[in-house]
Amino acid sequence: MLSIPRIVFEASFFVVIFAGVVGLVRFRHLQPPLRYLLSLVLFTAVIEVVSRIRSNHYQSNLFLLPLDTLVEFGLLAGLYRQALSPSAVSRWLPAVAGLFALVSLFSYREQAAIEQFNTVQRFAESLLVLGLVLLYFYKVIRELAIIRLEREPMFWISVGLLVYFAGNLFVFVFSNYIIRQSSAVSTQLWGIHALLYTGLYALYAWALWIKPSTPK
Amino acid sequence: MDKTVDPEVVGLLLSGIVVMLLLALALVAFFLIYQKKLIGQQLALQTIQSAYQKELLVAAIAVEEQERKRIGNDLHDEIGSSLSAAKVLMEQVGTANSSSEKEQEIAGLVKRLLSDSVQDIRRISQNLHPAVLARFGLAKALQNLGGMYAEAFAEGLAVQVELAQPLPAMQELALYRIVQELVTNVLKHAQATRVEVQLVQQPHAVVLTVTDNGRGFDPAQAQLSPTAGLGLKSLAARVSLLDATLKLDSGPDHGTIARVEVPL
Repeated sequence: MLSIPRIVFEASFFVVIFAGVVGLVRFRHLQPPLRYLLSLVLFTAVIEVVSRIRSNHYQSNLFLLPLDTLVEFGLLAGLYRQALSPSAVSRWLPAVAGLFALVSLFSYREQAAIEQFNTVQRFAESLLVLGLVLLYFYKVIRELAIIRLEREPMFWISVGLLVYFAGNLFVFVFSNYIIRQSSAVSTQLWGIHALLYTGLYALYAWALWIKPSTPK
Repeated sequence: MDKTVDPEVVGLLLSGIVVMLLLALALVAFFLIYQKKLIGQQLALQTIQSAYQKELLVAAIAVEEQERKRIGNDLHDEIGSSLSAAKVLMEQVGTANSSSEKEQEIAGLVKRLLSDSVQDIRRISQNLHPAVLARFGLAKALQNLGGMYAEAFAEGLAVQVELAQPLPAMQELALYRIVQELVTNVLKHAQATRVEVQLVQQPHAVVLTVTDNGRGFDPAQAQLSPTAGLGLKSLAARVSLLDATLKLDSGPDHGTIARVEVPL
């Protein structure tokens, strides 16, 4: 019988696929920022498929994680670059993403040799994404251009990212320490991650589905 | 093969995750409440500004109407009366036995000029302040307006009014001015041969429609033009005063239908 963390872990795969299908169905109506999100969802779906195949063959898939993080941050940076435009942050975001990619690539060479979580990369990504989310909230409050937030895809994406990265910050930081101590506790922690991940992709699906209210 | 993890460490870790989640959710809740509050304040401010602008518009139009009335009355009562008196005197000059043939001819000419001037003054005075509207109401005033403009269009100006009961004076005056503005616009720009004015009372609104068979125009383009849009802006001000909606349906060589809907 499957444990609860395992059930959540399995369910998260279907939510990612569901978000991808929603995005493809709505592709023609998606605004440019949401096309970055769809690219992210589709990329995640591919990573999910590859990692599950390797997992079923008892092969490690940890080497995929830094690549997944790198592409995820790159696409989220592209998404927020458009959402925060024309602020100075949006102009500097490509440079930040480039720097993040450079550091990630250097650390990836080291991490790939020894199979463990790249905690620094994940922690840095979490802080950067949380910063972007807070900047987006600040922009919304300052401009007051959106009246119906519940019809705004970027709002739901930001809520999902805020909850996901805030909740997982400790999971990312302590993942190597915990897995060395106890695989049972590690499974529980990654079960929490899977739950938040499922919530995030459910919100991505919702953001890809809703039609933004106009005028804002 | 698993080492035992200190339960205190696991507890701290889980507490940390819960605290972070609660902080994130609290931030979202705060953001939502604060944003709604600011939007509410912004809408309230916009409502106040809009009400103030409407008050200014009402005051400006009231002053304009008063001034039109004063000028119209002065023209009619003073200059019109003087010209009428001059016309009577000129008739006496023309019919006097002592006048020569040449003098009678000049007197007749002056009399005709005076007659034309009296007519012009009546027309201008009527345009400035429609006395018929104040005395007999909108239906009669529009019929009268139709009569005034009938000769300007080859196939005439038809007026149809179906009002169950008189409207408030302010609404009647605004609707009269709207018709006046629309008909003047048709006369100036449309090269129309026929105009139809229809005013119909519906259960929840009064609907005014002015239709012409002229050359039409592009309403969006006209509103962008700084000079050509003045008439439309004036119309929009009157329409705003009535809390009404104005819809212009027009296109090149398709004539124009202007529809004003005034909620009751």
